[in-house]
Amino acid sequence: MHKYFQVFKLSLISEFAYRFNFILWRFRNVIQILVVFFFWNSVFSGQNEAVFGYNREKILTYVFGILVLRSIVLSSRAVDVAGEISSGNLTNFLIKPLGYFRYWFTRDVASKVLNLGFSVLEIALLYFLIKPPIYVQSDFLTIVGFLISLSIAVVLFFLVLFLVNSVSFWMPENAWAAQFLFIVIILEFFSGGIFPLDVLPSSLVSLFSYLPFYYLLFFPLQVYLGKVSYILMFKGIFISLLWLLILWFCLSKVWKMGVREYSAEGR
Amino acid sequence: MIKRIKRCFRIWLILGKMSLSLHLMRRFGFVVFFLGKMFRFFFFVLFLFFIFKRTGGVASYSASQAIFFFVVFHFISSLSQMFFRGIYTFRQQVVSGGFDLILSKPLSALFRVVFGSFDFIDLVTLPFFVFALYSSGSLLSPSLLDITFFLALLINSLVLSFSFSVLVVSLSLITLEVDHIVMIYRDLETMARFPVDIYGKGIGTILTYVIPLGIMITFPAKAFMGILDIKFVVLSFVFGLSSLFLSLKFWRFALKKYASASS
Repeated sequence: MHKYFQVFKLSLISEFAYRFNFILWRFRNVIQILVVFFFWNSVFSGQNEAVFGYNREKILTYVFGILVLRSIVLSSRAVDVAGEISSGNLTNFLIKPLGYFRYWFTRDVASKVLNLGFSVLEIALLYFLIKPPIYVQSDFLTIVGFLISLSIAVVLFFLVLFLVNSVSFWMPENAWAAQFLFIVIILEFFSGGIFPLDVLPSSLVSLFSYLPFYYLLFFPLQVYLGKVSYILMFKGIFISLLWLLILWFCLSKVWKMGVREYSAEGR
Repeated sequence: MIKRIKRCFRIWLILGKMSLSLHLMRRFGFVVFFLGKMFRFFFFVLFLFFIFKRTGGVASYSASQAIFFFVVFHFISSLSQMFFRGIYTFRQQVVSGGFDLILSKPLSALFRVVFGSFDFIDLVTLPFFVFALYSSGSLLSPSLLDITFFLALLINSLVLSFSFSVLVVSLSLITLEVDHIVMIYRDLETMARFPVDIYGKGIGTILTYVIPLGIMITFPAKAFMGILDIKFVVLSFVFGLSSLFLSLKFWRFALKKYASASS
């Protein structure tokens, strides 16, 4: 356990080594959120009634919630794994007495801690600048459900990312293309990272609810906003847990096959 | 001058051929990127369609006008990326010392850097965006004058986008500390996905006159709808030419600061 704590510490230090770069990376996140915030603010400016089940307070909480949840769920260092495989640097880890998944998960946690800290600061700043109405959940069971679904989302994203990175074992030159398609495009939309999924027709939403992406950002936020009943909350947690098991099973199989395929090209 | 332009055009064609062979070597990546770009566009339009179907529009613009703004954004963004893709790899050239090789050639370094990598993925997506422009634009029934202003302002947008690109590569020469200046520019650009009016007076003014995204994207769309005053059309061209002049000056300044430290 001690060695992973050291990995955590070193990861934090290395993130701080490029402070200006990191601050600008956060600035990019703020811009993305501001675009969506002003869009919804404008949509609701002349509207007092709820649209798609959201009133002004809930939709703006959704937008700010996305900023926080992105920091917790989507911020990750494990995107570099694809590069490690294609450059042959994976060899360095294979010969070390270190769990490769645990190593990257620890680095992810360090990245999430740092990003979360910054996102809280950004939200505080934006809150004082634009004073949006924020919905605060007070129901204890809902908050517990939110925290559980959020924890599952963190592991789910890690598994999805590792699966996408595994493409490098077979197509090292195309790993970035797979990351672009799955992580940048598909995940952004299907996780509700840009717009809440329930603006789409209910048949599409229920179809998406059977995909793992649904449980990364959209579902935890729906739970926090109290938009799902207890029964639906438990059902969602159950489906996401099921996805967790399926993806874990797939990753173990794919990873084993990949390591067998790996020939340390580039070393 | 004409001789020089002809020479640059010939070199641009050769560089384009080289870029195409590179794309053909990575066919899988080409297809994935193309699909990704189309998927993103399609889903965004789908979301906007369902949102506007319910709300009727955004910030005093009707649903069809708001979607037109979005399509114009994508069209201009895609067009600029297609021509100015070289700026995405420029920092790496500075870091690796590869830029020295460009400087030593009897060709404008700026031309080589900005126009050096024609993006064929954007070229393939362009017909779809043109079709989207035509379909969403025909709902707005513009006059011939509106279309003329729109086309003229589109050219002006490319001039502005080129100036932005020159600014980005110049900054990459001055500071190596930031590895995603170009992505910050892209993120700022996404603020013009919707008409800049939605950001309120303060930010809206900054986005129009300081980071002229409003002039680059919102103004051409407004001209097409016939809701842009003629004085703003003139102002757009003044802005376009001034930005071009200032960005070229800045490039020359940045080039003097380049110390070739990486080579």
